[in-house]
Parts: sequence; C-alpha cells; structure tokens
Amino acid sequence: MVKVNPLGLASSVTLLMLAVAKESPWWELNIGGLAELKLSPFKVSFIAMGSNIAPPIVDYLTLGAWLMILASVALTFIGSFSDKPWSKSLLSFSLSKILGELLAVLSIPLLLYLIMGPLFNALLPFISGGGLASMEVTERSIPLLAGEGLVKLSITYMGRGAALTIPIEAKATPHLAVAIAAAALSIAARLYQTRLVKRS
Amino acid sequence: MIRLGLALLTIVLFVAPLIYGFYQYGGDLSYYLKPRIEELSLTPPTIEVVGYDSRIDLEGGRFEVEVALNVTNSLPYQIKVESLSFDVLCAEHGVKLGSGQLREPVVLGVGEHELAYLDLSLTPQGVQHVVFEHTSFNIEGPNAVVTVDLNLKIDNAKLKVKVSEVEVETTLPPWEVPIYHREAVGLGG
Repeated sequence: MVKVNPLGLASSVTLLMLAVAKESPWWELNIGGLAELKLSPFKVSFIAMGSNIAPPIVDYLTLGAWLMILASVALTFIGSFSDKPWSKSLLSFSLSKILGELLAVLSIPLLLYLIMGPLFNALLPFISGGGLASMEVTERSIPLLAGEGLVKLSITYMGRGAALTIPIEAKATPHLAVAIAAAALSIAARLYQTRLVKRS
Repeated sequence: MIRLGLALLTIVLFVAPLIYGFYQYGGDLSYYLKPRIEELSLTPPTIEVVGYDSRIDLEGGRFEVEVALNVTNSLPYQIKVESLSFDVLCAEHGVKLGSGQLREPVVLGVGEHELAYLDLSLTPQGVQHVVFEHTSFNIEGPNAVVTVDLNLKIDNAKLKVKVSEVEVETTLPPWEVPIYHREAVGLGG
C-alpha cells in the first residue's frame, strides 16, 4: 500500500495556488501615488510616471523563480506518494525554493525600510546631488511591512524652496499569507516525510 | 545522484531564463541591467496668462483685477492647485499695493487644461498710490479721460499644489501684470 504524505499534497496545492496567481503581487508599496512597487518572486514592477522602470533582467529572474515553484509543485506531488529516501530530496527541493523566495520578498520591505528610515540621512548626500542644492527630512514615519507613513521633505532647488509631504502606504496582500502557509506546509511536509521514510 | 540532478535543475531553471532574456535584448548587457528610466518623461505643467479684466473705480477707491490663467497638466498624474496667495506691488516704486489669491481650487486630470482665475485687489493706500503716481487726467472734447498705466508686480507668491497624493508647497518667482485702463468721464454741467 502506498503511503501518502497529506502535508506534502497540501503544500503542493498551496504552491500551485501561488504559481497560478503569477501576476498577483505579494507586497505593495505606494509612494504618494507617484510611484508604486508591486512585488512577488514571480513579478516585480516599479511603476513611476506610468512606466515600469524595473530593469529587464528582473523579468527573467522572476521567470526563473516562477519555473522553480512550478517544478516544486510537481516534485512535492511526486515525493508525497513515495516513502523511498529520494522522496525527501524532492520535498527538500521545494522547501528550499519557497523559503528562499519568501525570504527574498520579505527582505525587500526590510531593505526599503532601512533605506527610507534609519539610513536615509546617510544616503542623503548621494540622493541630493544633480542640481538639488539641499534636501532635509523634516518628518519621517515609514511602515515596515504594512501600514501608512509619511515623509516630509524640505528642498532647495535652483535657489527656491519647496516643502513636500509624501504619504507612503505599504500593504501585504493575501498572497503573502498563502506563501507563508506554503512555506509552513513545506517544512511540516518535509519533517513528516522523514518519519514516513524511517517507518518503511 | 538525485541530489545532483535537483541541483542541476535549480541551476538550469535559474540560468536558462537569464540567458534567454540576455539574447532577447540583443546581448546588450547594460540595457539588460539598467533601470528603464529613459522611459520616464517629465514635462512640467504650463501656466499661460490669457487675459486681464480690471474693474477700476478710483473715486470709489476700488481697484480690482482678474487674471485668467490657462493651466495645462502635462504630468501623468492628477494635479490640484489648492491655493495661491501673493502680495501685489507697484513694479516701478516697489510699494505694496494690495494682495491677491486664487479664486477657487483647480483640479486638472492627466493631459487636461483649465482656466484658473486670480483676484487682485488694492488697499485704499494702494489705490491712493495709483491715483497719485500712475493716473493721468486729460480733457478730450466734452469728456475727461482718466488713464491708469502701471505694472503690478506679483511677489511673495505662495503656491500649494497636490500632485496625485503628494502635497507641494513652494514660492513662485515674481512676475508682472501690465495694467492699462482708459476711461472717459462726461464733464456734465
């Protein structure tokens, strides 16, 4: 009788749900309605002034990430119907991919939080070059993963001053929850697979 | 063996799309890696004065000017001109004559243009300055012709604009509004 890993099947299904929703972002950042970052391992777009300005290589990096999840769906499914030692490797493959991609996505909000938050003053000299005589942050509250914030800037440009108030909104979409569920199920499925293999 | 196969699969799935993309972009590595910022085009909104309408009653101490502006939004975002307030000075003498403001907020969608009106009014002291320094009286037949000729300087202009959700408060460079008003007044009697 074939031993089935139900957690592996559930993991495979959640991974398939993620792969099917290829175009849906996991996390979104809106900068004052002027620029919008939509992020998932399968698609990254940074829309500014109506154009996606992400470098072309990003489209192919994300294509690779999507193909890896598709492969994970198939390998997890196959591995879940076996109690042979090699099945553990199949589930490990999927686990490493979903965990890696989830961590990559979560690292971007963290990086942006650091750049726009604590590191902003250190980066100001690099940002305020090219014609901007001076730029000063007068108020700043940056959301980490989800929430609303505000950046107030005082800019001197060509001898004239301007005060900018930029609202910032970060949003984690339901797909991020599915990805976390998929990662959790992949961990559980991999642990359960070890028990299945040991029993046989 | 299976681990080696899976490691190879990882490499192939990662590298193959990158190589495919590289050839899709004609092997131009710098274009492949660079953000597509050349696709950004930013044309600032334009403001053009389309007309003046002055309502001058020097005897009644009234000196009001309406300036019509044609504002064109060439940004890919909605713009709302929320307020514009300024001082009105005599361009020749530098004397403060009064003040002015935007009549009402103007909302411009992408690519739209709208008329915006500025209302300028002079204080009694400002009107007095105009009467003494910039007004001439001539008798032409049965009429007295009153001519007001001066340049108003718009200065200390504070502009508040909302571009999409970003609020911008700034000051504008000074500019001049030429006023030429000629009125024939019957001498009566």
